[in-house]
This record gives sequence, C-alpha cells and structure tokens, in this order.
Amino acid sequence: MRSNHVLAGERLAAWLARAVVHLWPGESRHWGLALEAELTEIEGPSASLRWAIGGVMLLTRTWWNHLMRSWLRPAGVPEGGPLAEFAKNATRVPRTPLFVTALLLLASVGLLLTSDSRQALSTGFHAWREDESGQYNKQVLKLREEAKRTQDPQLLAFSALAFSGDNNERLNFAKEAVRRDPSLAWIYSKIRLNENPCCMLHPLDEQGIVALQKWDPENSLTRILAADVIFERIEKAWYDEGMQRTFNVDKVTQQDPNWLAAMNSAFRAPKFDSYQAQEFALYRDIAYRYDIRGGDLVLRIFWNSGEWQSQRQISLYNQLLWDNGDAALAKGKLDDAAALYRGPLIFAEQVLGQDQTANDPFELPFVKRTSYQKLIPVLEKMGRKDEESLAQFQLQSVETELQTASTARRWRWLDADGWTGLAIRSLALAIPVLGFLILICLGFLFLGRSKDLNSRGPSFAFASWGIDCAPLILLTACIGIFAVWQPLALSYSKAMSSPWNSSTLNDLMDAVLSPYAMPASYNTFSENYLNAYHFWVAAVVGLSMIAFYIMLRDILRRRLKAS
Amino acid sequence: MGLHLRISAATLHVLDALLEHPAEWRHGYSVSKQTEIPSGTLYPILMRLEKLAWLETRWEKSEKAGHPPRHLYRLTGPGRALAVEEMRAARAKKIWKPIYSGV
Repeated sequence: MRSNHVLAGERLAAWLARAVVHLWPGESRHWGLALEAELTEIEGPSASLRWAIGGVMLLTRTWWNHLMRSWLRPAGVPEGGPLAEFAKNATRVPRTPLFVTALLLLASVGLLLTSDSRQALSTGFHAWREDESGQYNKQVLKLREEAKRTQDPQLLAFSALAFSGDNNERLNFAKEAVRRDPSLAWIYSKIRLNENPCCMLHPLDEQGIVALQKWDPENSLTRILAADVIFERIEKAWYDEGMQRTFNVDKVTQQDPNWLAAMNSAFRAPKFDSYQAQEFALYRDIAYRYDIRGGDLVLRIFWNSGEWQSQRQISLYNQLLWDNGDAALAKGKLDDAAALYRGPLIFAEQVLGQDQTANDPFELPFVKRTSYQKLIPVLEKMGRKDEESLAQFQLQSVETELQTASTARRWRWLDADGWTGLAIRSLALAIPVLGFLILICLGFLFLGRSKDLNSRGPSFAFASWGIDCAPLILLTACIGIFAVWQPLALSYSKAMSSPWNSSTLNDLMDAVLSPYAMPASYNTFSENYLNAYHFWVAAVVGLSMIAFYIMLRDILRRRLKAS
Repeated sequence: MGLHLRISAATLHVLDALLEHPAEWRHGYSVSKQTEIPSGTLYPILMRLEKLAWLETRWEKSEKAGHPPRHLYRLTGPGRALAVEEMRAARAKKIWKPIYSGV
C-alpha cells in the first residue's frame, strides 16, 4: 500500500500541473496539456514534483514570451486569432501595436510628472473654477501650523501677513516674530485687521505702529501710518454713529490735530520706504524653504498689504495742501501758495526717487501734474520766468510719462489676448478627459477581445479609433501644456530670482494671472450667449439633430434591405 | 526575420535521443528520462523544434481509463537531415559527442 506522503506528493504535483494548464496562454495551451499528461506515467512523488515544478518554470517562460509578443499586437487582439489578421485593415480592430500605445502613455505620464506640468494642470483646474486662491489657502494653513510648531521668526512673520482669518492670531504671530527678530518690525506696516468687513474697515495695529516708528523713525511711511491710525479711529467712530454727517478730512483735522502733525512730519521725513522689498525677500525666502511655486501667495500678500490705505492718507493730505494753496492764492499770498503747491510735488519726487515699489504707477505722476498745473500760473504771477519755464518743461515730461505709463505700464496680463489662458484651461480639461477615454477604450477592447469581427458593433470602431488616436493626442496635449507654461514659469522664475524692482510685480502678475485670462472674443460670447436660454436652444437643436440622424439611418437601412 | 535553432548541448542530447530510433514516436517523459533533461528545459526545446518543423507531433489516446491523451514526438524527414548535420558539425568541432544514435 502506498504511504500517505507518497500520495500527498503526487497529489501536489497533479494540482501544480493542473494549475499550470489553467494558467497557460490560450494559443499554446496544448503544450501544458502535454506536460500534464506525462504526469500519469511518472512514478514516485519526487519525480512527479520535479516534473510539475519544471512545468511551473516553463509556464513562467511561456508567459514572459507571450507578454513580449503581445506588445507587438494592438490592444485587445489575442495572439494567433482571426482578429490579428484584421488588425491592419478593419475599423473595428485597433491598428497601433501595444508597445507604441504604451510608449505614448509613458511619455505623457513622464511629462505630467514634471513640476511645471503639474503646476499648469492645477492652475488650469483652478481657472475653470474661477478659484485663484484655492491652492493659496491650503498652503497658508499648512505653513501656519508649521510656524506654530517651529516658532521660526520668518515663518511667523509670513503667517502674520498671509493668514487673514483671525486678527488675534495674526497679531500674536507678528509680535512673536518681531520679538525673535526685531528687524522684522516692518511687518506691522502690512498687517491690516479685518474688523468690520461690511464697512471696509481694516485698521492697523496701534501698538505695532508705535513699535514700528521706534524701529524706523526716519521713514515717512511710519509717520503716514501713525496718521492712518488716527484717521481710522475717527472714521470708525463715524461708522459706529451710523454715518450721520459727511465725513471728510476737515472732520479729522478738527477732531484730532495730531493727524495733521503726523502728515506734516511725514512729508518732511528724510526717506520713504514702503518695505515692499523686505516683504518680497521674506516671501522668496519662504518660497525657497518650503518649495512653494504658486504665485497666488505673493499676490495675496501684495493685495493684503497696506499700500492702498496709506495712499489714501497721502491723497487726502495732497488735496489739503492744494486747497490751502488755492486759499492762499485767493488772498494774494503767492509765496505761501507756491510753497503749498510744491509740497505734494516734492513728496512725490521723493517717493519716486527713493522707492521703486509704488503699487499704482499712475498716482504719483498725476500728483506731479496737478501740482505743476497749479504752480505754473503762480510762478508766472510772481515773475519767476526761469522757474516757470523749468516747471513747464517738467510738466511736459510728466505728461509724456503718463502717456507711456498708460500704454506700457498697465498690467500686461490684462492686455494679453488671453490665448495662453484659454490654451491652459483647454489642455487642463482635455488631458484628464483623454486619459479617461483611453482607460475606457482599453478596458472595452480587453474585455471584448474574444469577440470576432462580425459580432463587433460600432462601439468597437469607436474604441479602436480611441486607442489608435487618443494616446497621440494626449501626448500632444501634455507637450502643449508644458510648452505653454514655460514662458509663465520663466517669467515667475525671473521675478523670483532678481532683486525687487518696479517690474517685479508686473512679471509676477504675468506669470500668475495670465492663466486666468480669456480672449476678449470668448468674454463677449460668454456674456451674450452662455445663459439658460441659449443652453436650452442648443440642447433642443442638438437632440433634434441626433433624432433626425437616427431616423434617416433607419430609413436608408430599410430601403437597402428591401432592395 | 525567420526562426532559428539555438544549438545547445541540451538540444543536441534531445536530437540524439530522437535520432536513436527516428521512426518511433516518443513521449516527453521518455525523452526526459533518457537524456536526464528536466521538463522545464525539455519542453522549450520541443516547442522550438516543432515551430521550425523539425519535429512532428500527435496525440495518443491513453489505454488506461481516466488518463488523458499523451503527446508524441518524432523528427520529420528534413528535421532528421538537419539534426544529423548539426550533430556532425558539433562533433567535428569537438564540442559534443553523441551518446545514443552514433551519428
């Protein structure tokens, strides 16, 4: 009687041989059956097992060869079957060898894995959702947590500037940053608190501004911000009282003469520094350290910055000086009038000369123009011909400067034709759609690979067309989005790698906002036609055309059958 | 690009065994036992020989009940001639010596 271990060995060998036959590729399965059949004649468990294990090795080798050969056939075409013969001339069988499809897909995936392509895709998706700050918020929240954990002064300062949710938290970040690194005191000039969003009140932190003035007493901006604090306080009281009477600068000067003193002092300060260069350096430092490539962050910081509010104080004070000058002129005090008209002019020259970072390129030349226009008649009356001629010449220069600014210094991304934005949006949409289409076609062809040519419906023609064309289109789209993104990436990189200057913000705007722009023709089209009425008209027309096509096809088929 | 046979020592052993009684049909296991070549090496050689038309194959019904049909092999006419030629060449180069067929 045969022992149990002999039986177990032979059973194991038989099971292995059966598994080998089961797993063998269909086109050469008879060799697996041949190998299995020999097992019945082999005596002894060890010989049987050796034979079956040889079969497993053979199976591995056969599968490897099968896979290698399958790369040469189109997707979903079995080896040696009738479909292989039709692969070159039937519309319902793909023609492209699998290795070509695989190479195209690999190249596409490789391109999509580059950081530029990922950035372009992500921006394209956000552009469709009109969500320019989607990435920004996530990144800022992450960095805020990092700042809390590490207490790094740069990161704390960054979080204080970029995070606009909780005022107390922002101020705590700012105080801690300045305590750890006093050279970061400038951040107080940039922190506007969200006290009353409905009324556009975004006051500065009073204690912070005091600290800032101590740190940089010679800077005109710190004095303007001190005036700003006074102004905001009075304006807030006016809001709280229900905005009963007219609010103007006279009300401020009457309620608190310190505003006027602060502005007088600001216009006589020896220097003007908007701290925009420091802010940019801080952003760049954080961007390098934490590998942030999005421009949303930097734009948000600039939009959050207090430049516009400070300009309001300057504008009000300029207007006050011009009004006082007009009053002096009316009284015949020509020297006083000339001095008052010169005030805004001298300050504008100082800002333009010392600080290249003014956000609005029009504001200061306009100030200069108004001052010259007021000053020239006074100089004429005073009989100062030389000074008058010089002022005339300078007025002419300002006019030229304003004309140049209106054509060249506007945000370039607004003037762009919007085709870059359209290309990025379209490609960002096309790439996932094509990827999905390829997956569907591949799945369809592999699942239906056993169907012969006669039983293949039109869906196979579509899937075959998809698998023949879509990978190539996908690769083209990937190359396209990579190529379209390059000028923007270069623009961003240029802005980030060079020292801060007046064109930096323009470069950043180009790099960051171009993907969100659309061609003017599209904007006109969307304004006029992208509405519910046109949608329903298009839907009814489209569906009617499909119904008409189906009807016509059925009639033609019936006639063909009848004939 | 046509198929070609890679003449290894194992292939020469298999050809030698098949040439011993060239008219006879042989089972895979009997060739394996005679040449001491394991199944994992033998069958790729047989598959290759069949593809090159050196080998003909057929199925034989088993006489024992419940046993599957077995696969049989023998060299074709041109296959025999080519096999003899290959073995002579290998012998002349003194890289191999026939054991069974005396070629």
